[in-house]
Amino acid sequence: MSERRIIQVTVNGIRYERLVEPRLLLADFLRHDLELSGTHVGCEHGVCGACTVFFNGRTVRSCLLFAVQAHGAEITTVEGLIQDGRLHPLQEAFLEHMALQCGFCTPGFLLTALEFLHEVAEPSEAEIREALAGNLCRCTGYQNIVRAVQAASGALAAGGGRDGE
Amino acid sequence: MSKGQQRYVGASLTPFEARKFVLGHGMYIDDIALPRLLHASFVRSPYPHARLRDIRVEAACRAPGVVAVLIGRDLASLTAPFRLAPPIPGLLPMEMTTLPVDKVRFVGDLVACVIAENRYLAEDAGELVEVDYDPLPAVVDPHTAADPGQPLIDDAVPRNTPYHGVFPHGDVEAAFARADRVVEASFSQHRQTHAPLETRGCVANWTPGDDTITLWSSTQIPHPLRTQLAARLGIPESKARVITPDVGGGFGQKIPLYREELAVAAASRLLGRPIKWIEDRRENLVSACHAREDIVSVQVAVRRDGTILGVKAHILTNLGAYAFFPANYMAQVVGMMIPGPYRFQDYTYDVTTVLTNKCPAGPYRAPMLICSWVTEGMVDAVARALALDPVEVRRRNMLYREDRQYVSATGQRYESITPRDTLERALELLDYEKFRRWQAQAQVEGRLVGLGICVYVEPNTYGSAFYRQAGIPGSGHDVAIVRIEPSGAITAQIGIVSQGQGHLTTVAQVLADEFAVPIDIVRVQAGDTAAAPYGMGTRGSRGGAVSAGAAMGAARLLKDKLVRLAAHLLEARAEDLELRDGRLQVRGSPQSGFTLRELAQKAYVTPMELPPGMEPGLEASYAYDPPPLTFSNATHVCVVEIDRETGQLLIPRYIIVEDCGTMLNPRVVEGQIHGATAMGLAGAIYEEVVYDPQGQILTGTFLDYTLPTSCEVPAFEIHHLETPAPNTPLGMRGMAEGGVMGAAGAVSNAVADALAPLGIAVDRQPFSPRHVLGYLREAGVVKAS
Repeated sequence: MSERRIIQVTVNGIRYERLVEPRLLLADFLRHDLELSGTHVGCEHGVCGACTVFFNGRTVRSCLLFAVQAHGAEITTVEGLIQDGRLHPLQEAFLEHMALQCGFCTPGFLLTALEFLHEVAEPSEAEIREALAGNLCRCTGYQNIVRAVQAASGALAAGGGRDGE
Repeated sequence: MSKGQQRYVGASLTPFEARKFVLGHGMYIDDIALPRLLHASFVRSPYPHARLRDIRVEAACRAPGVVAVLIGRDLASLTAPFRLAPPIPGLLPMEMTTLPVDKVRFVGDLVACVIAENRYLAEDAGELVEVDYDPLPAVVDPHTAADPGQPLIDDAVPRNTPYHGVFPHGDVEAAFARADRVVEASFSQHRQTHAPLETRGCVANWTPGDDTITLWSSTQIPHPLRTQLAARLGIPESKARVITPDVGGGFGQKIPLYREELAVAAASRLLGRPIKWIEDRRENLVSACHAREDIVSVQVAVRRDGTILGVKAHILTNLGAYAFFPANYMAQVVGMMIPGPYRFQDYTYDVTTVLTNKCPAGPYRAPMLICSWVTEGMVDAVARALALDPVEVRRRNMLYREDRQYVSATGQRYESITPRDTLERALELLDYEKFRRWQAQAQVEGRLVGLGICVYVEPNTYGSAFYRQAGIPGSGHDVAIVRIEPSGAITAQIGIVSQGQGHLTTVAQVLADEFAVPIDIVRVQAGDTAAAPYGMGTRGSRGGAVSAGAAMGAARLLKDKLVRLAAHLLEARAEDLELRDGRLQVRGSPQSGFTLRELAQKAYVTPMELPPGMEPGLEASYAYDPPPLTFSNATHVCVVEIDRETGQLLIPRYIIVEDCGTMLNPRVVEGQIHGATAMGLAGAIYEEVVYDPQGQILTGTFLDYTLPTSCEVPAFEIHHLETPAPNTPLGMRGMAEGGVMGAAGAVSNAVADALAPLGIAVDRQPFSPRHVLGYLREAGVVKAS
């Protein structure tokens, strides 16, 4: 049995201290140790993007990181997007445009799209498709997801938003 | 009683179910936590075919955190085997143990089940299980699987052929005798897998003392699963409960009672503790049901003018190593649907199913998929052979709107389908003549551009009469229980379950209109066999139609009761009453009458005020059995350009004109069209399950089994026709698989059209860059590297 380590991680603004094995994946730590099951595991090899979270301000694939690597880090998961009971404009746009069906890929898409919209103010459809190409969806065919991200960029530009991060 | 205002049916609403998903509050299998939960991991065979000479589990049992290790022999004493022997001529019975005892039959086949405190420790211990395999030669190629001298995969199945059948219709020899020409074509569809983003999994919880089991399963069919689970465990069905939580995609893969789930359930009973199993992606790609490895060749008898006189079709399908489904099940529908939207009546098809040392096959969204490629591909082949316009050949042979109740060559009764309308509209949207001029010019410039048309007819809904006619055991009805609560709120339980199709909302739309109430007081639930009525599962594009039909039936029973109650209380005649804005009142007098809440209070709290003979409460159950089949249809038009150097396919334009009858929720319907069409293109172009000649699977990650991203899936132009079915409530037809049929057919035909000038016949998928380059190399267009 390998030696456990104590890590301190801030997730969605709350500080946690836990004892973990070095080989524990960050995705498993979030889902099972912290019981934040909104982050999903779709492949465990970094391709599908369902496990995407914010890590010190940048998106990462939490299935490709160990929890011990998150010691001292600030993480935002999908559960952290809602503020004061209000949905983020991106979440509203996903609902308005039905950018999801089974919902399994959705948390990963939300966080990827959020980072992208922070970087690019008025993206074209081609830019959006490129930005989302690291997240797989099996249900929607992507068209509504692209529309939702487009709509959200408009809402954020119109000053309707605040940062989720 | 008037039908009332239609406020919600037909409205484009995002399903309410979606809200919790954007918040990250879905509850999928791996999100379930229980006290004292254990975790299962499976040891799997690295060999495609091998005897299990010995399995030693002592070291694994002693590993940290391990509670038990079970192998085939252990599970054989805890569970009954699965025997599949429906009385179908030409079908051999097959039997499967819970875990293999004597031999393994494919890479990824099950060897042992390790139960431990957590998944990490279970996998560690799995590596300590010692297995002595005696490798056997493997059978991999379906074309040679039945050859004499091939090793037997199943001792009860000679020549590895569990099924063969011949189905003549009309007089095909006479048709061929009259023909000016016989055109031949062949179609080889590659093996694919469903790859839902959520892998398979379950949590089994046996309660000692209670002697009951609850199985949370990522399943599409909770009730039939429960029936099978109880039978296999040898317990009364009433002591088993299946709960379907949120499911991250199914597409047909999550239908069988998988051996892993049964093993975990049996282990939970043995240990008296809950056990969770969730497969990883490699397991899903390697050992969850595969699909689609079908090969069809046709001979088409034609007149010089393009009229199709008759067709002979030969269907070969690769079932893999085990039968989770009857071996004729999926191939039968291929044969049945090859006539598609065309008039020819003289048609014979034969089906041969073989076993190989590959993962077992199961139904995958539009299991009959190859039929649309075959039908539309053979029409294009006829056009090329006769130097006719493929659109003209379609027009010459296709059903007209006047053929309102047409019985196809295979006896399928099409009710008011509109293939011709969708074709003409799609061609109009494309501007067909203009396209052909543009294409001609582009080809002069050396560009490889093509147009693929696919007009398909999609069978769905599958009523009980269908199963009887096809000789397959099963029923196609489904059930809803609708209740008006004491507060006047409306709740319903339906028998189907969802994986994102929004059924809970579409049924709520129907109920809100039936009772003329705001939709936010209506709640529809599903998935718990303890509360939901016995349903037949979500598959075959049946969910929307059957659940809405059942809910309407139950609602109408309740409305009858409400009317009789109100008539009694108002001392009015039933015919003078109307249900309007949630009130049952004398027509035109809103000040008279009662709200639903007031009537519910009488029914639940003061039942002595009910008319004599009326039971207290307001709850009704209704089973709806749809017609044997309903049919949707559509035309997909795909423009393709092939990059000569890379073999990449670009799709600059994609048009869909779809008629799926009355749309309960157009936003949900379009979502299904997008997803199905994307899935069809994905399968035809990018996805491929690959086994090497020795039977080793090579596609165990998403880097090998490639799913398209937002950069590869084009945007689709979608247009609707809405021709109600004459024989269902509200005129609904099923839908949601057709898009796959349209896409695979259209893109295949587009590639064929693009490569035809080079003399290349396109007879196999997929059209990934390396395969397209393969075609070009064969034709000498590209130098072999």
